[in-house]
Amino acid sequence: MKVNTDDAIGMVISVDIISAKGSLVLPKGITVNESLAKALLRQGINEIEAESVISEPVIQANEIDDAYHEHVNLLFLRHRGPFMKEFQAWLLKK
Amino acid sequence: MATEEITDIRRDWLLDVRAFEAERVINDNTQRLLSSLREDDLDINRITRLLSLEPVLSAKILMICNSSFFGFPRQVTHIEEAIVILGALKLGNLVYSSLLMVTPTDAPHKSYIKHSLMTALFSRLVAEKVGLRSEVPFTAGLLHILPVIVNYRPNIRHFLTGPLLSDAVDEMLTNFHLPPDIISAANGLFVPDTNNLNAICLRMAFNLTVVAMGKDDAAFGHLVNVEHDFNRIKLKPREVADIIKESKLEQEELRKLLG
Repeated sequence: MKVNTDDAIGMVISVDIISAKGSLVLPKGITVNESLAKALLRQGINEIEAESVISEPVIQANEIDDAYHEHVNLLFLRHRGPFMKEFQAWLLKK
Repeated sequence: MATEEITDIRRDWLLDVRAFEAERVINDNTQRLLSSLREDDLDINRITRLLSLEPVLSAKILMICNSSFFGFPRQVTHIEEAIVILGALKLGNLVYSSLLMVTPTDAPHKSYIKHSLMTALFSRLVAEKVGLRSEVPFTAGLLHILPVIVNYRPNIRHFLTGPLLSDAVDEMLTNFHLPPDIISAANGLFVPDTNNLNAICLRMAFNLTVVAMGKDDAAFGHLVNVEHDFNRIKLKPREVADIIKESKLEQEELRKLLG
């Protein structure tokens, strides 16, 4: 995605930046910070190809397990019969 | 919200369900198609002709029957092929499934649609474990909250009760001329019926769905009490619980299907 260099702060360069003479200015994969943006603008590079980085929340396996256990335990709060309890136990073991 | 206000909302919603014309969900042609599928002597030509008048339905049917959610052994590319391979009962269920594939209004609406399809899947798997060779549990699973899906209101979760849903399901499925065994199975979720095996499969499936969909996604926040149902269908709690683990692929396929 083509963006204005000063709007690209915090984004990652998605295509190598090549100077007018054909030399590599910056390789793709670099995160644009304020000073880098200023440096590019000084070189007359007003637009670059960059993508925003949306960091995926890292969910640990044990967090998923905890949420699942909490969900199952809450659902079975009102069910105290032996078969329902056994059912709950097997659902928690899965 | 005041109690009287909730009572009024419930009454109005049920009145809407009663007034809901089948044609808004199932048009005349699809009604004819479903009737043809229920006939003893299956007229493939007539069914093909009726389906050819419904290109969107045909496309949906091909899309659904090629997903592993339905578990067919090979790819189905032509609608005629679908009729021959699947047979009337399964094709009828595909038509019902496609009816549920409406564009959801919001996230809770989508949860109800997903709940229906997942309950249908689990109903079939419970029925298989019981040795019940019938498509009724699957269809009942698909349709057990049909009024909620087709007559959806954004705040429906706050006023929906078991008895209200029971009345709504009974009236809507009757108005839609669904076979009595499907109506009694679907309604058996809300009014426990000791002798109805189809309904027991549905009750078990409902619980599996609420568990499998997870806290954030589940359309319902409670389980049906199936304490006595394990003995009735001669299944151990472990065998029922294992269905979640055994159907991971189908569940994943269903999630893909719904986007």
